[in-house]
Amino acid sequence: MLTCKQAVDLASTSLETPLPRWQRWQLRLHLLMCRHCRRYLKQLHFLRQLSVAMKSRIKTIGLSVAARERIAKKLQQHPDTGL
Amino acid sequence: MPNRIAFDPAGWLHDYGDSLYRYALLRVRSETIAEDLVQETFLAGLQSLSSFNEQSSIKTWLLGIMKHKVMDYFRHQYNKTESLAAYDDAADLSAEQFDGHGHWKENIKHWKTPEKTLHDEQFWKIYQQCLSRLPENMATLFVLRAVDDLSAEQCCQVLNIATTNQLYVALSRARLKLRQCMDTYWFMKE
Repeated sequence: MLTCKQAVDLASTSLETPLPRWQRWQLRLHLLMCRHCRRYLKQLHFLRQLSVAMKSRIKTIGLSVAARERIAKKLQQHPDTGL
Repeated sequence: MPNRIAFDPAGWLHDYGDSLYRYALLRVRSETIAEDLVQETFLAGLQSLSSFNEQSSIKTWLLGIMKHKVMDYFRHQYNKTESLAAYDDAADLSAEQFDGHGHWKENIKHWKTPEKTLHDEQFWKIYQQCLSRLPENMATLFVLRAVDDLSAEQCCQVLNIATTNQLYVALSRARLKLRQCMDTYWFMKE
């Protein structure tokens, strides 16, 4: 019988790669009996959604004026710019 | 002779600066480092202008350079010693949450996650803060897997992890920690 600590690692790994059949059954059995680990797995799915949602949120962010000026200056100083 | 059509650094900065910056920021999570990477990308672009293939767009070409810069940055960050030390810390993280028999020390409570949560600025602020509390390599691992869709093998290569099993354990520890942080600072505070 898996402990919660072992079940947590298997649950996390199951999000990455298919588990071998034996481990899949062990995890399923543990989840049947442990509501804490069931909740944990559900929360892992939610956390995964967040990292993907963050990708679309970041679209409004841009370089600050100061950074833009600093980079522009650096580019102008570069010998290949020919300015 | 450089290609005069594409030879426009000020225009590049105007047209592609923000998107390159966002690409870097999402991955390295530090504004200063992301700005530096944008600058390095443009400088590398200037130096290798002759290799620009006009069949691809300047944006795609610059983004390709940025991708290499970000990967170089990660590789540089995670040399072998650092990476192993960080995973030892990771083992301690799980000890915080389980007792000697491997059971949860505290009950896992149900999270209410209504649709509006994802539109709440405060929620995202907490999420960012929790991400930034993760050991650096764990946070990178998250991004590489979730945003870049890098395979487990590719992640191992970038982060200098010997086996995919070690990678999965590290991911599991990162998730434990992130979950605990979100639980404490958001879900149990509601």
